[in-house]
Amino acid sequence: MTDHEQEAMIRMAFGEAEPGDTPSGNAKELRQYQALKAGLRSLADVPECQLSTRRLTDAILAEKVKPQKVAWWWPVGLVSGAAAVVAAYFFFTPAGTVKKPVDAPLASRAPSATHENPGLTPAPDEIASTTGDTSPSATARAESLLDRSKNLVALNDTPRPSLSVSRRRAVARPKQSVPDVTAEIAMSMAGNVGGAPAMSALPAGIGGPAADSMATSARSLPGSDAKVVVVEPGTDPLTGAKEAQEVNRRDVVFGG
Amino acid sequence: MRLNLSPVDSKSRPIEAVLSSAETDDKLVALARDGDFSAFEKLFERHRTLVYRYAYQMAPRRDDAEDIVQEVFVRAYQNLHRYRDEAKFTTWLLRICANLGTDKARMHNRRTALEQQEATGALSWMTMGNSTEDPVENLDRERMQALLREAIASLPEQHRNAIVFRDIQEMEYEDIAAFFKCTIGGAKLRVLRARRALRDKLAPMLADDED
Repeated sequence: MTDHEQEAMIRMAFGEAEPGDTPSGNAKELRQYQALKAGLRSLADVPECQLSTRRLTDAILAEKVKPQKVAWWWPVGLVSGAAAVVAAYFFFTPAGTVKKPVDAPLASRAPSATHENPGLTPAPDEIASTTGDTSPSATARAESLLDRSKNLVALNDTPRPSLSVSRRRAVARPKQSVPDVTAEIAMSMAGNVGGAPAMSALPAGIGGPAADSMATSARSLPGSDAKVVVVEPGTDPLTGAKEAQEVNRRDVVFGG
Repeated sequence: MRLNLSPVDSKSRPIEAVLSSAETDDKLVALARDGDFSAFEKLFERHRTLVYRYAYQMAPRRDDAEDIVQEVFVRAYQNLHRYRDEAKFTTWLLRICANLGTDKARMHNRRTALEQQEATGALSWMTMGNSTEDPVENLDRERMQALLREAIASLPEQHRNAIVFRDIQEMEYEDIAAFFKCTIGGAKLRVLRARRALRDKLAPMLADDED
């Protein structure tokens, strides 16, 4: 008997005969399938379900309010795991890359006027007023000098070493030369930095205590061709301003 | 007459009610998802017998089957958000029951074997509930059912489910195909193969009956 014939016989025994099915095969096998069908039908008789809605509700509530079990080793494992993570962090992290807060002395050595703290840069009109000249031309000149000084600061702005390294080298290494903006401006006002006309060549009235202090700070500038203004103790009889004389820097002994 | 999968007592209910109940399952599920527990209770009332009859075939003791049904509905309630509308709610319930019942059925079979060893089958009289007046007829019936259940339990899971759904629960091929996620033709083929496998297991006993 082929598979197709056997399938047709099974369908007939279970009352699912299709139009193309024809009775074939042996009668004994057909009776076995019919007995099987009757036996399976007898299994359909089951006792009544007595599960109540109340029982289901209680079961759902019990499931929802059931507390979650916490393993006894959980806190111990959490603490040891956290300690292992911290230890691994310090073990595998290079020493120079650990960030530490900047200490106050190191911060105080920072330049007074950089692109990082622009609030410390004086305004052009303030510089002009310190020289006693508030004319627009003086203000414009001071502004151009400020721009140049900012460019100088940007050129000298080399990448900083890590803080831990800089902290170790803070005392040993020489102080990094950062141009003093105020000194350069004063130098330009008083001398010929960049070919600008000497401020002392201007009519009297330009100068005063501010110019003195700026000229004093100009002593630290490098270069022997620069000229400095030496303020004389006497005063100009016409204007009443202090007298000053422009000399070469190499002819002056600073601090002597 | 074949039972419809969705309603519980299709024989005692008009066909309109049967069809409308199938339509409202999704609405009840939506209400239950929104926190309306009474809607879930309605679903339970409607489908508990269907699930119970299936569970009873896996664990043929009333208390075990009721435990399975309870667990099925608890899990269904907890996972209502996962139910997708492309399958019938009853099909989804039966899948949960099939997943749950496999382990429960193993537990039941082990426990029943132990109990039968101790009480020499006395307990099975109390649990079957299909007794007639004739004790001899009861014994023959009981023996036949026990053999059938044993043979069904020994079948592969797909064959077992095919036999239970079609030949015991009398479900439509369409619903069986939805359970197996196959075509109707595929469902018919599975049922045929399952019947053949079951008959091969019971052939000696069936031949004895013929003799």
